[in-house]
Amino acid sequence: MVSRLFKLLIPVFLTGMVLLNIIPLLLLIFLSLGSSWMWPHLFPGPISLSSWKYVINPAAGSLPALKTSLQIALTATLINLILAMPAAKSLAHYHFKGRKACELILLLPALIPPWAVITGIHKTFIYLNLTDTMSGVILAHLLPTLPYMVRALTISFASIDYSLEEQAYLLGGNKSQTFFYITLPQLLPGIAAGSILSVLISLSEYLTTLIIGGGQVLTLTLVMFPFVNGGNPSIGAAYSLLFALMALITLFSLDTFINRYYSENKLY
Amino acid sequence: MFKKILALFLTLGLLTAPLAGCRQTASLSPDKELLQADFSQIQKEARGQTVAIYMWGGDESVNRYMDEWVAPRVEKELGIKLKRVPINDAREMINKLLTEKEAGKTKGSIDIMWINGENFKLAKDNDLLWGPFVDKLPNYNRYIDGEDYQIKYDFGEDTEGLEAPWGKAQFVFIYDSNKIASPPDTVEALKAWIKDNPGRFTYPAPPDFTGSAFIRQILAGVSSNYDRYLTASLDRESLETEITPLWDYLNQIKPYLWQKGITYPENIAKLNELYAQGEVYMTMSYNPNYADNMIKQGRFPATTRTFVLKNGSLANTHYLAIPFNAPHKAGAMAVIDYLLSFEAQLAKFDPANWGDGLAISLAKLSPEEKEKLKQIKPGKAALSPEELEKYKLPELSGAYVDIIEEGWFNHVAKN
Amino acid sequence: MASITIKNLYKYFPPSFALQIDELMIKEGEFFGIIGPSGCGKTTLLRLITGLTAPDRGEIWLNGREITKTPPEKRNIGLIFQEPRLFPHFTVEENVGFGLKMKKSRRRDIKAKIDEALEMVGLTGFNRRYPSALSGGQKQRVALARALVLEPKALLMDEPFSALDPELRVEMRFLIKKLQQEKKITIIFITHDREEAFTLFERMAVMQEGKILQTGTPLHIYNQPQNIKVANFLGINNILPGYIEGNYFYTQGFRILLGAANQNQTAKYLLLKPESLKIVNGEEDARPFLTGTIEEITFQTGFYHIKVKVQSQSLNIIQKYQPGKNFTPGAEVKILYHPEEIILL
Ligand SMILES: Nc1ncnc2c1ncn2[C@@H]1O[C@H](COP(=O)(O)OP(=O)(O)O)[C@@H](O)[C@H]1O
Ligand SMILES: [Mg+2]
Repeated sequence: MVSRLFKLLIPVFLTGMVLLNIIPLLLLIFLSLGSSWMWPHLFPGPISLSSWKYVINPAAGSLPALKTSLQIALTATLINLILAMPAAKSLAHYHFKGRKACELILLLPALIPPWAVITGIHKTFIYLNLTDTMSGVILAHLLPTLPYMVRALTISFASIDYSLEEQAYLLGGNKSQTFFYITLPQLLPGIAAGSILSVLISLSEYLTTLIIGGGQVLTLTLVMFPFVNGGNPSIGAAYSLLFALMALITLFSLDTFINRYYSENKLY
Repeated sequence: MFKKILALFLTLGLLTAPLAGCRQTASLSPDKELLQADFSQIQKEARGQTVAIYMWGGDESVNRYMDEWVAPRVEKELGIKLKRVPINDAREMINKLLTEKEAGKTKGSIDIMWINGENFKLAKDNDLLWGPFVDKLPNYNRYIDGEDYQIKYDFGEDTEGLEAPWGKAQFVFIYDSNKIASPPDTVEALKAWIKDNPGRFTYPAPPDFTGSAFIRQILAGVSSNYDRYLTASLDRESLETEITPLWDYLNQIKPYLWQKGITYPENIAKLNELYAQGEVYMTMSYNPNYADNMIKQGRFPATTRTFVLKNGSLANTHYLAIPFNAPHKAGAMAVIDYLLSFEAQLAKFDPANWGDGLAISLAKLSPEEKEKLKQIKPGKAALSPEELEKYKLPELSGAYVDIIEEGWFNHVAKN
Repeated sequence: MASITIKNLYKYFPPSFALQIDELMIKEGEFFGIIGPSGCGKTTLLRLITGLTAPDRGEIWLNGREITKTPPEKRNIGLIFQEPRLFPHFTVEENVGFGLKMKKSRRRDIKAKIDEALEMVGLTGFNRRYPSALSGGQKQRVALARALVLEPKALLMDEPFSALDPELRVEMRFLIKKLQQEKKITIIFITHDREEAFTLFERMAVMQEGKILQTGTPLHIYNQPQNIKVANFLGINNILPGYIEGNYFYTQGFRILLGAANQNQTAKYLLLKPESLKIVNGEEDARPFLTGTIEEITFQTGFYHIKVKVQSQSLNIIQKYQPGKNFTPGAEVKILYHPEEIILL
């Protein structure tokens, strides 16, 4: 009885979810086409391409901004991976004094709102001569993203079957071979999850990019924000769609890359 | 294992380092020599520099004017690369400069910033500006009337040569001539019209910039002695009591507003949408050419027109300033000078580009220049410069803006 | 010449376990077994030999070379666990070829060797399957092929078939025995299954609490267990305390006639193998006997396991099933024994 009701509810629920995701997207598309679609009107108003023309016009600098966004997000994610690997491994496997505290501290940057610490970060970066540079921005992006990477990898490490590593040694695999062929594939889901979060957070980071990059490092988020924030909703919508497209393509490539790695990690 | 724990602590260190930023103040010596130098020498030094101009980036026409009109010319004529940095809120620049000043960063990244009002006051009060420099600029001296109240005072604050006027904006109302034959021309007539057309008028809730300006616009209309508010002399309480007529006016129209005044559009974009949909018959803007731009983009009906109130129409000037730690001060001066040239001002004035009001004084133009100016016709939805000029009123003191916005919540929104 | 030699090997696990083996030699090509109760250190010993665990002191030699400090990946000793430990993200052939790939063998050689190994374990054609699509027995065969393909200097097996069902277990025993005879592999095989021990091992060691109690052929140990622990572990479960006087061993309430060979005057225990006793119904035979009452009868695949009370003690007796011959609880019976098959300790 209950389960039958459940079965009936599932399609309703799914449809609801899909609508919930699609309606805002449609609204965004219409908005970017200069037409608004408001209650009680059944159909959207007339459309124009002027917002898109502005966004793709070279003088608007969308392309370099897009490139900068990706460069920062991918580099930060790579650094995250390198930093988070040993940290996550220690957290997952060694029970030392203060482990809980370490875990908490590693999570803090994700919990504390950025505006609360951004002045401190800004000053430190000024002393370190890192402001207004891309490396500074990348470093600053580690703060909100690293916790997610550490978290994802810690879970991955905790669920690794180490007996397989032993097995690999017994079959003559050395440390690095064993890591690449046996450990890494087991970590991949965690790496994928962590990377996706890291990339998405970095791409949408506004405040740290603005303050640490000082406007010298222009990401798509920086360029689009004044429009989205009331300046010109139509151009804002076009930028948002461009942003979504960029994020989507990045995630898709990341996924394909990881899957390719997974299948190319085949032995022959 | 120890290596791993070491790595873990390194990571921790990295994450906590930013919290440790400590205070340190450095004394800054402004580039005094540059202020003594000959302008041709400044221009020579400026050649080859990349000048970063930080400005609000949310308007297509403004961005286009800078990217497509100004930047190529500055590069060709002055040998300066102009880099426009879009920002969301001028306050972000001020905060950045405040931190940089505290941390003793003498070489910043902003060369020019576009500000006015409270942000200028903040910058001035905190010594974030370099100068005074405006009288070093040949075009300032040639075209600007530095003694004009609307130029010398920025929301009541003396500019003291720390910022150069770049353009002017004026508050206008926008209506659909198809629905309103003759628009009201005083605040009283506006009130009557609103009562006659319930649900067809509203204004954005402060702190929206335009909504806040609308309230000040009404204040200018209902107060007998508006000049009294140009400089801040009253405390919060006395001001709030003294402007009771403003609260009365807004409360009287409230039941006749869109949604019976229960809710207000959260920003000007929402109001414009309501207008575009025909829900309301009027909207407003601090840009006199806004209606014309929107018609051109096909967003507003072609029958849209502009009007101002004869009680006075608020105007403000927006400025360009150079921060204390601008890395390319010579380049900044050269660019600002260029932006004050007749050609740059004329192009900016042209509704085909931006349609912004002139900062240069009409009286200082040569006959040929006056002729060129005449060639530029305002759009059919916009008012002529003369008409705008006729009812122009300066903005009240910046110190009052916040008080009035908060007062609106207590005296109007809450009722 | 011994293939594997262990000298004074010592490993301590806090708080209370210590493995100590003074000397153990396993010959090349020998099928060597280790039996002992759970927790006695069998797995630890294999891990020490493969290098997965480092000893506190002592030496391990392989084919005349000391390997105590050699890392596991350089020892080329195969180890098969109770669970197959296949790599789930690799196919059967990738699993089997893993070791060859790590050694950077030529691709064509790898392919041929994989097929050969799979044929050996009877899995020809399973190359492209993933471990998740295999049964328990098939997985264990893949694990076996994966170890054998490297031609290890020794193959260690830690209760490899104990998770399989009985029929499969017998089949696998047969397979491993056959492979061992064909390839002359040195094998150390752990089990706690006596039957497995007797069918497979050429020689074996009985372990308890980290020590080796006795080494020898299974039959030798069964017939001459060094002490009652060994005897008990091998299933000799009639252990009677007492003393010898004259030709008899006296235990509580009755005495047992000793054979000519059994004149160990200091023995404190007399052991009777359960299958060496025979229950008769009163008549026939002139052999020495005891009398008792049947307490309990269970029937297991062709054999009766019978408990008979003799005075104050219970004796365990295994009798082959014979049609027409029945036992009833409570019945008075004669128990015949062979004085020559008695063990005195
Ligand atoms: N890594 C280890 N750390 C601590 N104690 C261990 C470890 N491995 C095994 N032991 C202990 O050593 C003893 C022998 O274990 P093991 O060799 O697995 O026994 P068996 O294989 O004979 O059942 C057990 O008491 C076990 O708890
Ligand atoms: Mg074990």
